[in-house]
Amino acid sequence: MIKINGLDKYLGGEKILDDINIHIKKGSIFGLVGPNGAGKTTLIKCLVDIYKPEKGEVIISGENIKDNKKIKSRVGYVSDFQYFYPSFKISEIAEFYKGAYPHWNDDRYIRLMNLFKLDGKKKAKHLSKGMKTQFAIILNLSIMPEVLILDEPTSGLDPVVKRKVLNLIVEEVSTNKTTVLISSHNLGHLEQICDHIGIIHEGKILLEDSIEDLKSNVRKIQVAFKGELPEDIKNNKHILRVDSIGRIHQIVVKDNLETVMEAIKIHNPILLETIDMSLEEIFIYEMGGEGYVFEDIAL
Amino acid sequence: MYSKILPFNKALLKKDWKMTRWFCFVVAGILFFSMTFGVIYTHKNFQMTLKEVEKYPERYMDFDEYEYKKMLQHTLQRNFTSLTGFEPILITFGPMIVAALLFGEEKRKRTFEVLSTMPFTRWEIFFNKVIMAYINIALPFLVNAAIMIAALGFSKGLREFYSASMVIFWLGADAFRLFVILSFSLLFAGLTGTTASQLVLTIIFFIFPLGFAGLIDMNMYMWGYSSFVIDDFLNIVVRYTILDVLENIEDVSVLFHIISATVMLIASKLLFEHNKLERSGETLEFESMETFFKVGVAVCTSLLFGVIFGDTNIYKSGNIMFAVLGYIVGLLLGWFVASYSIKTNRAKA
Repeated sequence: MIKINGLDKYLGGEKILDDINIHIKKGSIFGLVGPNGAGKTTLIKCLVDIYKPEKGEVIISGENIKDNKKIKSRVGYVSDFQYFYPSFKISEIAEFYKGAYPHWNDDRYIRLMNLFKLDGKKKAKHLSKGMKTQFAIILNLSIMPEVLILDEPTSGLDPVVKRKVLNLIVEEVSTNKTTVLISSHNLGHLEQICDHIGIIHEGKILLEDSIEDLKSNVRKIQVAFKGELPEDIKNNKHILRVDSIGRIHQIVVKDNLETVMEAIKIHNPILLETIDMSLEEIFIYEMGGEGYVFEDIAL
Repeated sequence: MYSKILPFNKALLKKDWKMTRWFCFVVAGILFFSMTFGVIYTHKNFQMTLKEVEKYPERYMDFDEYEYKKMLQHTLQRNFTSLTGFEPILITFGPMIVAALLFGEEKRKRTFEVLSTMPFTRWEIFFNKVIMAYINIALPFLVNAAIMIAALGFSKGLREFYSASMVIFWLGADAFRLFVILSFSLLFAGLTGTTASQLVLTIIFFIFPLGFAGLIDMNMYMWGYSSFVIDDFLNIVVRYTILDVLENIEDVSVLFHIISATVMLIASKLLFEHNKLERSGETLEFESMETFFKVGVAVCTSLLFGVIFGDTNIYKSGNIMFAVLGYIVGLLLGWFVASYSIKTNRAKA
């Protein structure tokens, strides 16, 4: 459904995106994560044809998105900051979208306006950041998108509205088979709704996988020995990180869980169990491996 | 397949009209009160004057009805053939402001980003903006022309002062002027990234031929050189500058200006299509123009400050050092201001 092939983008002479390749299947919810300044928003702006990449292409439904009316009419985009015509009323902006998008659905628009309790008579300049985001989501769901691209859609929303938005996205995918790409720093939310994840760092895709595979590949082992942690375990090349509290050691392993478990068993541990990791933990360990330093900060 | 030759888009036209309609109403109002109102009341004013003369003959001993009527007819004739009152201001700044509202403001407010994600091609966005810009600035003139022509139908006496063909000629001349100045303004819409830089650069280059020649002229005079060459040069060149369209329409080289406006329109379309949205909000759309901009501003301010510091009696009062100092200060100040403008807008963008 979405294919990003060899995308390079420079901003102010600096290479922001470097040979980005992503394939997203129809009906999938793809989470794009990465530290601040990794290139998430730039990638999204290339995806929706705001920025023209220096190299590479964005293919949606088999066609290049560049200046492509047909494809754009089925792509919804909610940006990190909402730019509406400030002097326009909500209803006037909706009217503009209705005239622009051939698949605009009035019933859906009315239903969503009621759900979010937005007043159509209000001018865009009088909306708060959260209300603007809600309105952008309403508009982009009312165009009946085949592809929905969301850049930090839950930032600035209160917890109740945040939940509403996430539920709507899931409902959209399940009923209309919409393909969604969502960027967020809230990995807890992404973990709940995404089936695939991509980690971007310094303009490069570090990792692209299904959440299921990612979670089965990166695991945490909780282990305790009578004595110290054996040296051969400490230095095992498959171990990403070891955290110790007293005799309890938490070992993060990537790809070779069985090999590490076997190595541990040789030393007769008094406790040995595997623990599932959250997406946030996986992200931190993956980024740690790329030199993105994280420290426990004590104030 | 997209097969239409001219991509009119109702949604874009409506949106652009909503953005700029206030300006259209303001221009229509100013034009009405500064011109139309006076024109359609000419006959009534004439009759009131006659009554006044009849009532107080001793006050108007030398009054000649025929001459007075002729004078009014001549005044109206002049109103319809050359620019009078607020008309030159509306014709000069109207297209510049509308172009800035439709292009510069969309760049500054980042709504162009939204437009570029919507199902419109760049050509469609540009085309509909140009159409709306022209409608917006021409409509007030059309409405006022319609009022003046309609007034002829209601008042027989008014027909003694002007005719429908005179109004149509006036409308045609102004429509031509608006087209030329709008095309010129659109050129800067494609070169700049903010409302302010678009307006400022449009105005600077509008007066540039006279302004720059004036600066050279003042500097030559200050150093004791004759500026006849520049005067002669200006007399020839001014006919082929944008300022020429403000002259009496009968003296304007209409064909030349229509061709040059069409070329500017095509150039602005090409520039717009090459605009990068990541530069929206910056002073200039193209990085390669920044040095040219800084040098241009620095040279002009240098020439201006040289004259200001050196005064006009450079040799008499021994102000050579001051003139040189003025050149240096102007050069540095111009360079600094241009660089600062670029940097500030870049930081905001």
